[in-house]
Amino acid sequence: MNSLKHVLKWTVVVILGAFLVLVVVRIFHFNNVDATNAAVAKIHATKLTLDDVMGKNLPEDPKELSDKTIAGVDANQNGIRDDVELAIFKQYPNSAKTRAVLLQYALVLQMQMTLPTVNKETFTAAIEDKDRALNCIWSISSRSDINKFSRETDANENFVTLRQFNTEQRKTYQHDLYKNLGSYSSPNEGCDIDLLTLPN
Amino acid sequence: MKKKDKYLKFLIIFILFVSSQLSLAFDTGKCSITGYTVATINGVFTDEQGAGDNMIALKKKLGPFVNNQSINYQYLLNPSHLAGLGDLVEVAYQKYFDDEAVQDYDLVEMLKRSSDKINTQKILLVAHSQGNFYANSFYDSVADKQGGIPSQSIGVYGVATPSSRVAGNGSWLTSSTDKVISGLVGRVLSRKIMSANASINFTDGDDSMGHDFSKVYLKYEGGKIVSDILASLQRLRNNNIQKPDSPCISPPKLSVLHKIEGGVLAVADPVALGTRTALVSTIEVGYAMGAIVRDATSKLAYNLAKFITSFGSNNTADVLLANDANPPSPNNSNVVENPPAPFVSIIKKTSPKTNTGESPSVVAVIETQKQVAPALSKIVEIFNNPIPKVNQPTPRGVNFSGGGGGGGIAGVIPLIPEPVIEVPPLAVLPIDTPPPEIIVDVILPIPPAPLPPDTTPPIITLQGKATETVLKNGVFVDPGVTAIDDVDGIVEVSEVGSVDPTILGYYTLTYTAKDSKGNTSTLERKVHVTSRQYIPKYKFGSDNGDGNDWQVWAFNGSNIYAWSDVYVNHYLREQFKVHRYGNLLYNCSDCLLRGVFNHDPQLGFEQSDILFMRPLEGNNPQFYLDGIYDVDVQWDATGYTFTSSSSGNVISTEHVDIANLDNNAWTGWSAGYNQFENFPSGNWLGHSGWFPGGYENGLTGGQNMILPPYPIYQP
Repeated sequence: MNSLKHVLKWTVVVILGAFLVLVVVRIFHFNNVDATNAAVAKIHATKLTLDDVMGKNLPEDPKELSDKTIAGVDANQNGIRDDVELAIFKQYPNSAKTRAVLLQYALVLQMQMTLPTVNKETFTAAIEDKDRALNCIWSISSRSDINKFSRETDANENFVTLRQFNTEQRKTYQHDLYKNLGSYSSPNEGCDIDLLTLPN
Repeated sequence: MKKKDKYLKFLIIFILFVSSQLSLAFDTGKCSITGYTVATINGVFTDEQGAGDNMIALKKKLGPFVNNQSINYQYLLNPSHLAGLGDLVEVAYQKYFDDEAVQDYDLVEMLKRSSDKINTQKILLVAHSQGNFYANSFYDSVADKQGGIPSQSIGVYGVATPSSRVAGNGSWLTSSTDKVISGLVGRVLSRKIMSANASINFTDGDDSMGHDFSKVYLKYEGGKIVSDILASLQRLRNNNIQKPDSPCISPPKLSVLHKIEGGVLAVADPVALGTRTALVSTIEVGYAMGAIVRDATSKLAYNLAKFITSFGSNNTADVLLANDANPPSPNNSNVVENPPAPFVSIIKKTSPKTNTGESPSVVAVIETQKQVAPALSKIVEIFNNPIPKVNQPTPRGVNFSGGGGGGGIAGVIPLIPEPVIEVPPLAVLPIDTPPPEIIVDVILPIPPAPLPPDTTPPIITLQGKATETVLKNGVFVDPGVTAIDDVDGIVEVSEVGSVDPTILGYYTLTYTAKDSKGNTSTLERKVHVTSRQYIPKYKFGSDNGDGNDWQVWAFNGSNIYAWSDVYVNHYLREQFKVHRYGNLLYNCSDCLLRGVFNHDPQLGFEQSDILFMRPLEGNNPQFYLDGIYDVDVQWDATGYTFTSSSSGNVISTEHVDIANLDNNAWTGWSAGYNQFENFPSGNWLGHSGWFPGGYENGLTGGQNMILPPYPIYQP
């Protein structure tokens, strides 16, 4: 009888201990949930602006500083890495539409690389926005000739990705981020800016 | 008694608390009869990035619509467990129970996710590699089941399927050259699979296993896959069973066991991953320290190999490969050599024993290699993932013949250092397969093998436009190009061709870039030497991008505003308002000429390229009266219909036929009856500087405007 009591006592102690641990864990969990929800909302609220497309606040060339860190330099704080932003403007000075789609893609890729909270929810949210940016890039090419469409869109995507992931550290970091990817719905929405409002 | 009550209270509180934490709420979404869902399920050996990229590649090929209904793309993650070790058991288990639904933790999670997010009746599961087991089980779990999906509304399409079936009699595509499915699962393991129905000739730069979804199957059979999927979607039908205001799939009942398993995996997966990472890090440190020992080991191993192979005829042991800096080629055909390198890599095995005592032939050795491969390739993948690739631009290693998992980097053994690694024997094999007698004793560091052949040419990118325009007798300045190679970085570009600005016509400039391996790419630019060029200057709107906020186009005696350009049935529709000041003798909005060109006039044009000219549609007698008029211009294949109205009353309407009009035509404007002669310079602005009526109700307006031209047809 005593041994039974002993077992019962320790069973309850263990359960109580587990309960307390769970309570503590859940407190942190709910705190994290709030932070994560705020981060996800911020990710989805991050949009390209017309000023970005028109280059109203173009940064100076960060030169060698651009590759010193994974995040690089974003002096004008528009969420787009400065060297990538400048490359897009240099390449497409006369096409606001092309700039708009490429800048949006650069913006979401940079957002992935600078997530303040990295977990499944935030990274998956960033991936959803990446898919939206891809829809935007695809929207400026006609699908009537699928091979031509692939060539054009590949070139546009590569123009950004080759520059965005231009160091081994950045490639590795991005690859590791993908370990946080969960199931998700790929959105059908596209551009942040209505391309029809752009002059060229 | 009191104590017992206390314990009981604790127990009740604990159970209630845990239950409340683990309970899940599901969104009750809508289940629409319009639209389709395409849900992709990856193979377990494809990492998350590869799986995500695969879905995007499919989405890009397939597009956003089918049958004028949108496609909702869902990415159903088939995650890896226990740092990959759990996956091996999973595959074997699924293959063994191939004919029935395998309701494991991941499948339940997929069903839960689908219940939350799938909002169309019609759904097609597109699976790759091991994901096909899940697709089949998914189908079996919901098709014609209570709370599931009627079979008429759900289908499965399999790519590189290791299964012996495609649920719902779905279509599939498997290449006979897929070394994982056709090779390993089909031939080596002799498992029953769907027969190969394609033969992809992939090249050196592709996935060496010929198994990757986007880089092999979509790349070479993308057209077939898209057409198969479209046909599969066409077969799906709506039903009367799924209710529009309920989830398309009822949420699965989550057992306590499932929740516990979720909790265990939530802890065990990161721990296993961390252990794996730590192991690899340790190995990397050991690798440097072991460098001194390496050469001696190499020689020892090589001599050992040589010794063993000298007894090769009795087939008690085979050494598959052994090499050092300059090893003599073994004469024995059972010895397979890796690319020359300073280290040793030995895989020792016992040959399959035969009752007859017959000596296995060389073929038997190759067969054995393939049997080793599944476990090896998994180890390869386990070790590949976490290794930081800093200063290691391309994964180095040797291609290993034999099977592996889905896509990606499987099949390449990276720089694995010294330690002896016991390979979990044949964890990937179905449990009814007699274990082949294979023991991998030693895997020593594989040397830095030659980099994969560089077969990718540089990418040339044009600065400026693909077609540049220069006015006759002007100066053409080539905007230049840039070329980036995936290995060499920025490479030089040579240019062939020249432009004579004194002679009208099109000229071609050809740019050529070559990398250090001789891979060459070319790109052309057209240069149009032309008499005239339409250069837009400003457009309406506050967000028009030109830095102005023009809302009124001001002429002498009239204003034009509220202009819009949209496309109706692919043809341009222009709408605007004209405010005419009838007390003036001279109203110069009539000075504005519409021009119709046989191509985009921004690329330059000649007089012969102008198909048609006519004053603005406001030019009718009524417009000499003071007032505001609404103008609507709808284009079609033969011309356009304009309608002028005032206060809702149609004043005039007319269809204007234009000869030789086709869908390449554009329309634009010139002012001052300039006839596009000196466009855009010259007197094309109308009479500016005097605006008796003022701007419209405070709207800002511009005089020096010329609107962009628009194509009359948009595909």
